[in-house]
Amino acid sequence: MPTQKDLDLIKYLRKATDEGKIRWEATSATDQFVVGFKGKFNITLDKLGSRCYLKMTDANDRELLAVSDDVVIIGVDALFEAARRVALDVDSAIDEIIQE
Amino acid sequence: MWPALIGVCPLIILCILLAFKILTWDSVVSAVQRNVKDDPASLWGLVIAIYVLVVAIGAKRAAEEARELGRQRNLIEELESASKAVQEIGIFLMTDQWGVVHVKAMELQSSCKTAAVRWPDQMSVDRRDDMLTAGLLVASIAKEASYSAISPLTKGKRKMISDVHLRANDLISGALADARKQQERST
Repeated sequence: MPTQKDLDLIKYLRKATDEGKIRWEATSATDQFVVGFKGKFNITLDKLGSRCYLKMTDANDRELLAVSDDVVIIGVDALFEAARRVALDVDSAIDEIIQE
Repeated sequence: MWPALIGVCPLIILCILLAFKILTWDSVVSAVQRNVKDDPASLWGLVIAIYVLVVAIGAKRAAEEARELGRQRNLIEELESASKAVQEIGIFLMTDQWGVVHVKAMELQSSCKTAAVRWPDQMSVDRRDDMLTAGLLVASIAKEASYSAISPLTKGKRKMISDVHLRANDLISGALADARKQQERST
């Protein structure tokens, strides 16, 4: 079960992503986005089937946190969609289509 | 700090002795004159001691600067080796040598992590984040390369890997350029 701190982190990530403060990068795995934080943490967003997972690791790849939306809706799904929008530049793609 | 304090201490003690009238200015002057006349070697000793102190301070400063420069050079060497490795991966990707891609990508991932963690004061937080991100991107390439042994990669997947490789190259090159700029500024 996620703690309040975990929820705060997801909320912060969602807000920062929407404000364009986080530069998510798409990896070569399908539906996986990553970003480095504070020079010592990594956050990875994964989608396996219909479930989204958030994983936080330190610079030595030790897993610090892993949450998913499988028990209760805590916003990882929405964060995943927002990250995908940034990493794959979905808005530009839509703009390109609309402008024609 | 300490050499300066040691140099100033006798003067402070002299001032205190003069202030409390334990010594008079005339007695100090006559003691110095007597010392110069009767025992010039002690005066030379004092001059040489001050000279040695100044030289030692300069040497210490030079050693610190050299150490700092060495640390910067180490970071640049690490980033240069990472940059070379990412270019080599590009060549192996083009020639479909997935086994080599896997090994090289694992090495590069470790290099990216080292650069981010080992020199925290030599790189900005953003650049360290870039190196961590580059490490994750490269790790994903290593993973896909290892999957290629099980089933051949599709065209779409190859394109994805190529895009990720280019992005990792970008991040590493940016960090290397920054480190070089910082070194040029400090020399």
